[in-house]
Amino acid sequence: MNVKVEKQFQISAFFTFFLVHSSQTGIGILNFQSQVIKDAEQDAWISLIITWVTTQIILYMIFKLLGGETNDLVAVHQYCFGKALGSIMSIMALVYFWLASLTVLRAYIEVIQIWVYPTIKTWQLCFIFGLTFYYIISSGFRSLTGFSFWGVILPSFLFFLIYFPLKHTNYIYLLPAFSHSLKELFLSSKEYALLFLGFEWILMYYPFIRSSNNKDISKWAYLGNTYTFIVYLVITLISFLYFNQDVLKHLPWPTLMMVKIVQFSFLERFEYVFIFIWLLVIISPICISLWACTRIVKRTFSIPPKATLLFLLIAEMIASVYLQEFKSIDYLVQFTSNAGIGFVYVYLPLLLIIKWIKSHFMKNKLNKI
Amino acid sequence: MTNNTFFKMGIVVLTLILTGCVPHNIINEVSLMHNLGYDKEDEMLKASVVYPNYAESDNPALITAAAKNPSSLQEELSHKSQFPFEIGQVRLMIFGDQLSREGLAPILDTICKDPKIGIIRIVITDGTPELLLSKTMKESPLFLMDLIEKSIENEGIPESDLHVMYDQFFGTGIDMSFPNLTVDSKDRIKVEGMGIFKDDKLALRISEEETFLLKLMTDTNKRGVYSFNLDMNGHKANIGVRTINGKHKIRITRENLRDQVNVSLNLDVELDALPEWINPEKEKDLKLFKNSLQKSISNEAESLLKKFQTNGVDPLGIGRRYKANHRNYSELSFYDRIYPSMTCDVTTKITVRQTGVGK
Repeated sequence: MNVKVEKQFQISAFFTFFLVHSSQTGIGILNFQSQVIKDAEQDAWISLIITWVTTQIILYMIFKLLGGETNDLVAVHQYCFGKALGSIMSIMALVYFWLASLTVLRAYIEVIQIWVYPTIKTWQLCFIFGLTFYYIISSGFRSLTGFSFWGVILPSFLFFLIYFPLKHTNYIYLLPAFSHSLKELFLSSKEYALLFLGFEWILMYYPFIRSSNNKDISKWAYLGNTYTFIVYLVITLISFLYFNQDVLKHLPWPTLMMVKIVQFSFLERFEYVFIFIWLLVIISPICISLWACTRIVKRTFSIPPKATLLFLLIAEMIASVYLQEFKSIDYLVQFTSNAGIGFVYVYLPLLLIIKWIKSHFMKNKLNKI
Repeated sequence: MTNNTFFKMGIVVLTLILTGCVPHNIINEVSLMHNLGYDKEDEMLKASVVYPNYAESDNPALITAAAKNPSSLQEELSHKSQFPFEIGQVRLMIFGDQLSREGLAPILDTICKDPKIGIIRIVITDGTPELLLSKTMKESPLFLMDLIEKSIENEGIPESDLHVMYDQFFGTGIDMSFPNLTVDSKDRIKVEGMGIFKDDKLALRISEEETFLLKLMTDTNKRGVYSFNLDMNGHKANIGVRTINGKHKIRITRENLRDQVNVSLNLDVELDALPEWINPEKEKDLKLFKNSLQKSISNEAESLLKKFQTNGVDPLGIGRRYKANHRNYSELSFYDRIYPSMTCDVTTKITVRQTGVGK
């Protein structure tokens, strides 16, 4: 069951940091504020801390799942459920991974259509992006890693943009602090959980990380997750200090509205630049999840990844063109995020329990013989 | 070359070709709006637009159109222009008197849905925007924007742009306020006072002096000139004091079952011209002068706060301040019961930073 990956296809453990972080930062960062304040209002930043802790716990569980004999999700499934049922479960995971990439792609195209080119056709953008994705994914996991590395490094200068809204902040918007019940805080932290989704893809690329021990990899994964937390915390605090709560409820794209005040004498509207730099950020989650899909197919049915990739990409393009109305895109985002939360917070812990029972059961059986 | 190389080159070529599919706007073939005025006239919304007319002459052109809703308004405007209008470069938005009184909500909602609108300045006028804009035809298209920008920077007008508008319009516990532009008897445009809104309707106009006091109590930038009548040592004079910077603090305390608003102002001032009978070198004179200045600012600010209270408007954001300390805050009951019964207390502390270079 254990899968062996040749040394020349592997990456060093350090890059886990970039893979985990870049697969978490997608399109949600542009508009999460209006979702998370629904329940916890100005205390939503506490919910973010809750989410960070829970994702660290889930990551710990993932590394427990991946230890020893079973070093990717397909192997875990086959170990726990046997060959036939295991394959079905892997296909379910594939559907979720594919949906995740579709959601990021469609949501990003929607941003472009709302903010920059209202008349552009969805298929035109899909086609250009699809070619790019095909090129990146078909070049293999190592170049995908390289891309996610630059996808973190290059846009990181955008972080300095917080200087501009920082001048107009008002601390009073965070008051009264600690005025919400635990239930409200948890409801908001569920909204934050969507932003952290993506780290679970490590279930598929784990065998590609070259390392002497599990600990080395998990260290970088935890750090990547923490870096995501820091980024979100800074953006949350800045947008809460810059916008009144009631304003956030009325502005669907708060991060882009914040970028609006960035003005240079040679560049009046920075949000356009921001949106296109964001392409670098969203390519990683889309490509990593699609790559994970092809990997699942290869491991379960031994079909060559390029054929699967082509099929999945075309399916994704068709689905994106089909989703035209804003309501259906909303629904897609809702559906995928619920599926993701179910997968990460319910299914993975369950899988760990099943694996644990199985290994104990097996051991006892072996002892008896 | 291998098959693979051809494929990769094909991708690059296709990508380059497809970028041509994007619709484009050529700067000479669009009308870039610079100033946009909205007003109401006989149940119709009316928009006036100033845009530089490069195609025909150097002077900007003014176009007006009327329609029943904001969306068709833009359509109506376009019917009258050679090129399509681009709203992306609007720098200043003006609301006419009638519209301000009847409510800005429909227009403001449209503005906040349009991603093309940047951080623009928003002002009102006590006449019609059309009249105001027609007086700027000989100036550069950015004249009004520069006028407002400079007044906000140096001349005692509170900050007023799209971000502030969002904050005041959607936010609870604060009311909107916009600077007011007027055309004076000599056909010159000037900034005069402010209009304070209750919800989306104009409720109160305040004078230039009051506007500066409002700025002192709300903005971080406190530059401006405060003039007051000094009565000292048996002499009388009107003196202008330039504030350089300062800090304000609004606190709400509860005394004897009544909520009290405490505003404390810390101002650094510069004295340009003083009459001969004051010698700022003398400890006693300086102290007397400072005392009467502090008293004058405090008194006027207090009466301004009372004026806000009696008119039921809250441009200072006292409700917001109250909300920060009270967990079960409701906007309705605050403005119904608590706000009108609050007492106000303004304390001012003046630091004289400099008296200029001459003696």
